[in-house]
Amino acid sequence: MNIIAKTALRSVWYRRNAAIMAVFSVAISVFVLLSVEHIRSNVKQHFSRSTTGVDLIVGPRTGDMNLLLYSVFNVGYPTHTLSGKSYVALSKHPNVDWVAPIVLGDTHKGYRVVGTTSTLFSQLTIGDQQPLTFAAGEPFSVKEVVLGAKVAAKLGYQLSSKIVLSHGLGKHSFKKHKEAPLRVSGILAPTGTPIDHAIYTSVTTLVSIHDGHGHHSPGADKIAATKQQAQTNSEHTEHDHSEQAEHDHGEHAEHDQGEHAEHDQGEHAEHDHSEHTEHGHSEHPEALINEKLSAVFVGVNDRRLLLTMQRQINQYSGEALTAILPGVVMMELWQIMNNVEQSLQFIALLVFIATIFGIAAMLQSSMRERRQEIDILRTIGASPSLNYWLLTIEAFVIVSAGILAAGIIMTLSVAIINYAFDGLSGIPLSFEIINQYSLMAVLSLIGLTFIISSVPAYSAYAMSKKV
Amino acid sequence: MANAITINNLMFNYQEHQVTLNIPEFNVSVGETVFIHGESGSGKSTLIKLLAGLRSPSSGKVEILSTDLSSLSAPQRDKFRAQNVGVVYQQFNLIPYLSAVDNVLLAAKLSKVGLSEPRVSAREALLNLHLRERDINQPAYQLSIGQQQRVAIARAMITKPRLLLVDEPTSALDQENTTTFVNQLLSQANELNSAIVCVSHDMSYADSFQRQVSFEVLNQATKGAQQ
Repeated sequence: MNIIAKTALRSVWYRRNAAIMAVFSVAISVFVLLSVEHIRSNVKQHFSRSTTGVDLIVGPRTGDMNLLLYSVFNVGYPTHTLSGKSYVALSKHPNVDWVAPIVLGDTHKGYRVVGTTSTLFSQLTIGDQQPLTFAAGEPFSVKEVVLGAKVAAKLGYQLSSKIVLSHGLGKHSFKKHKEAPLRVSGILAPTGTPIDHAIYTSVTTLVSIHDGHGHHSPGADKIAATKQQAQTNSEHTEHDHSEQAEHDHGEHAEHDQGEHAEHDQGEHAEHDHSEHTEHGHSEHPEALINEKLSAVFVGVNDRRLLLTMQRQINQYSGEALTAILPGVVMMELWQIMNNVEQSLQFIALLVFIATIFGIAAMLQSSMRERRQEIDILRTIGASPSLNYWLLTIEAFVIVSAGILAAGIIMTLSVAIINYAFDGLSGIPLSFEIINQYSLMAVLSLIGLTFIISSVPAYSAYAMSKKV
Repeated sequence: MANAITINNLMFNYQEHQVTLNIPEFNVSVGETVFIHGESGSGKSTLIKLLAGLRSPSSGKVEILSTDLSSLSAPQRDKFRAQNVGVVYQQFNLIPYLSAVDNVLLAAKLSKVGLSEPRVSAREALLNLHLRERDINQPAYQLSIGQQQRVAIARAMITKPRLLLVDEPTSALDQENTTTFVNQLLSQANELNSAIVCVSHDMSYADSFQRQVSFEVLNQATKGAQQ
């Protein structure tokens, strides 16, 4: 090894107690700086893959963001339903190519069950318009389910496995539809989207397994429940505080929401499900005319008319509806995320700068003991600028070690999140932590290091002149 | 033959109006060994730094090996020193966290004197000075003072300098180590025909040098300054 580089390295190691602290400090700030962007780009990529093929999402009157999140990303809950009548009307719109209903409300071991029609499988695309494919089996028919790739892998299900759905959107639901096990008819190929984390079944199947509870449609059931929940969560000041509500609210902090919702709802014994759909043409929109839906995915013939359609739906006289263009709402979402990201990055940058100043202070305060070393180096022919560079190299070594450590911590974190926690809220993180952004960031940080460390380095230079 | 050192009307002061050094004339021949005796704090170390080109005189001329130091730029002086002048101080001659071998290698590297096998030469030089194999790979701070001073000789001699400047080299050594050190110093210099200027307050080994000079006589400034 070059003896000059060796001298700088040995010098750092000689003062390692302080240096190691500085390395950790750098590692943490760089970790935050890089992981914020890493998560953002991963989430964005994941989300962007998810909505291709759907031109319009129609739901009950609700926030655009909420509709997008619960219908596509399995995040949040519907607070209202839209009627089957609107769904049928929508399907008859001249510009509509296809419609697929979305009914939320049940879960299986924490995975959301989506009631839909098999139209969804034929029409939904992912990424660059790639069609959805089955790794095994085929679309569901009555009393059957199709599993997302992750669900099948995590729970170890195969074709023809029997599963029991739970009532409500929580992980720890008390009420299970034990009397109505469903058969796995198909398993979807991995998509890298929320589809992997969902279980699909037909709306009619969902309706039929709720028969035991009466005659509500499943969507309405859950929606009423979550609505009540929303009240206990946010609007409880306006409502009378029943003991039940208080209780729910307290527990809610620790658990997923669904179970409480479903807990309340358990008392409602007088449901009124009809059996009308079991033998009907479940694929035909008319078959769902009496059901209540959470959302509808729509594909259109002519995309140029999308904005007009959106306006028409928003002004629909039959029912208060919301129509969104997923791409547009996604843009709004990025805008919000961007702001959060920038704040976090700004803070991380400040932490990094503080760290570099810490390193500079450490080097500066070591100047007294370096006096002799500087004299020796000068005596054996080192120029003052060599002493300048030796200090700069030391700062560089510390920062580089910190950046390296940050890279290792990030890789480990990604591994732990992916394998132990099934991704970040279901989103798998990429191991590619070296990309254009991170390289640029690291180079800028190193540049900053050279600038800030020039202060103690200059002290060494000045000291060199006065041997 | 040309002189190793030629000093003419050298004046040096750290602060204005306070002359530290005033040496009208001082010459050292090539290969000559000179012992300069003087009390500590009399400016001996300053003289060494002037001779090494680490400091520049306020006025007057210092020629080393027929080169006027003031005619060289600062980087040229650094290079000249690295290649032609070896220096051994009283203490702290070595970079503490580098091994003995690496200390010697660093000097060889900075001098830019192209040694064919610098690591081999460094090792041999150290072993010649009776340092043990296992010691020369230890960080320098783990060596005894006596060992460190011997490493310092090897470090100073690796570039085969024509002039060796030695500043109170034995004050941290006991009698036995002093004798060993001085003998090794002189024999190394003799081998390479290097001139030596050794400044010290310890007269005990002055006779080993060819010429003895009193710093009080040499430096005219001392007389005035002490009043």
